Amino acid sequence: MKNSYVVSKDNFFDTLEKFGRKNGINLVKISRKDTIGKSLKRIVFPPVEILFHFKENLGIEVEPPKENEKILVFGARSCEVEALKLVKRIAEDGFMDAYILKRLSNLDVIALECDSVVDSRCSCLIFGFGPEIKDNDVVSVIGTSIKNEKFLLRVNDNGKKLIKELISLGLNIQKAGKEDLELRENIITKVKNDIKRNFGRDHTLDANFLNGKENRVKDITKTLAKACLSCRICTFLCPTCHCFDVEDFFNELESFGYRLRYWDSCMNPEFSKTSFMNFRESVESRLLHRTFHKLKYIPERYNTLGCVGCGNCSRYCPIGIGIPEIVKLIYQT
Amino acid sequence: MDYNAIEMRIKEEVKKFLQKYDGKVICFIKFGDKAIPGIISSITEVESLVWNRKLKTLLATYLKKIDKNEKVCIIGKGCDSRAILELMKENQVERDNIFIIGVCCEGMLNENNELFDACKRCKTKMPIIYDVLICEREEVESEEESSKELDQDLHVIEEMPPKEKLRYWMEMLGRCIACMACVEVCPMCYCKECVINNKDVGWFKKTSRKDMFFFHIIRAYHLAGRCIDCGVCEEVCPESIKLTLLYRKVNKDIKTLFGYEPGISKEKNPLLSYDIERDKGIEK
Repeated sequence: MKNSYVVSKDNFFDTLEKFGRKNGINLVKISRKDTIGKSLKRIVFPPVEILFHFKENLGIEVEPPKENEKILVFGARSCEVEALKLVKRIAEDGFMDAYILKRLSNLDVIALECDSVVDSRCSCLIFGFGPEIKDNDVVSVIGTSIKNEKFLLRVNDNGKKLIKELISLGLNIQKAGKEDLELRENIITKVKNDIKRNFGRDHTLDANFLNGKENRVKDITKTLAKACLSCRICTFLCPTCHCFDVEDFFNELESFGYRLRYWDSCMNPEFSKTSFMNFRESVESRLLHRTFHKLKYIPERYNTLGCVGCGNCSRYCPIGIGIPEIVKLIYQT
Repeated sequence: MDYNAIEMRIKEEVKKFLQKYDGKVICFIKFGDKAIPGIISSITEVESLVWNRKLKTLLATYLKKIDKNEKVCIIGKGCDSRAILELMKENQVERDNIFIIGVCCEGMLNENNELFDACKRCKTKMPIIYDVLICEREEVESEEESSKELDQDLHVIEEMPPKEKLRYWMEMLGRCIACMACVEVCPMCYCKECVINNKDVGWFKKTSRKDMFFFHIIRAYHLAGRCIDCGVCEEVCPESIKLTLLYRKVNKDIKTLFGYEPGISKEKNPLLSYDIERDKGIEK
């Protein structure tokens, strides 16, 4: 990107807060340690959401949903940005998800590249995303924290307006020099090396890597099924999982009701329950379906892996096994 | 502790069990470079058995997956033995059908090589019940002083005025997104259908913070005098809700009222049951 600037951290945060207060924008700061419960996906696709209210009053009146507030997110990591890109593509595909797209249009993202790995579960590089963030249409500004309490900001077309407003509120920017860009390169290389060392394998998966290895996955899930408790935490913390259930509530005494949707999980035994049968009743079949969905079905449809390698599933799993561990095992003979 | 030696001894005991009975063994097995819980039933599989210091998962939870009439061998740390003791009182496990290989534990470590919070509070480094004990030391010293420090957060809650307490728990429990992970990983939650999952009746609305608050209060009461404080529910919670704080408070009250500690008191019946002899004593 051409527009690279250097700003001091304190100055940047001050002006961001001023900007939020002035324009009534909700500023959400995601820190690396509490990504749990504050992910980007969660902002565009909340766990529980009322779609609309309705009244029965000589026919049915539907109240449209309220306008969403504007949100500015600071500190989204590369895995979350990549996941948001995928969620956006899925929301746009076929029958459009107006609720997600509406929230996305009211969302401004200031991403922040990682200057170190969170822990040994981080594996974005292996899955072909990150740790550097390439220019894309869901972010406005991409920051990297370089030495001396400074951010290196790379601004794209979406972010030009934001930076202009921040400058008018007192942000001091300097054009980034060659050595600032070099500093960033060094930080990225260090993170890359850490990820490779922790993962124990030095290679990048392409979207079709699972072709011809399906039987291996079946063997792995067979062993894993005995240990899996179906607690669903992997799907609830996954930044790309996007399944939901819809339910109506109706108050017959007062003749009003609402329709809501909430996160559902493919690890839920009732997920595939139909009036005829439950076609994924065993843990094994559910695990296999989830793994294939991330590594086979999404790549076939969107030509990108469905797992961004954030490591949340293995980090919080009660038995410590997630998609990265399964991938590692696929290559072990 | 020498974990390799313990692993060898566990393997020996498991082999003995499998030679004697046609049963299942709940243990940790190798899975890539990690260890996961597994259920094995033949001597050839014994080689994949693992024991080290990073096995926080409660094996007792897997008793839910096994019929109580089957012969089962389980490798039990202190927390597992507490759970088995409580399950035995509630007739979920037959003592004759379960063979416990007790293993002494000095607390399990997480990814960053720190002790888990529940392990810091643990009072049963030696298993409570076992058929065979594998222990390097004769006695594990009690750490009364450190456990007092760990109860600091309990005192903070206790000293709050009621209104503030209500606000605190409403805020904390209202964050729940009903993912049900705490229920699935709990060794004591063995209901076929949880009260919250019954969609036909619709006891709970997932949109309502109040309803989620009620669900957790109901769960806390269901676990009163039963929660063995293994801390797994808190570890998996995606919202970092301090669930064990709530259950510990209930258990503390139960200890002061009835002198009963779940997983440690060796009475024949669970606390919340009818026992003529015992209840007479309380009346007096």
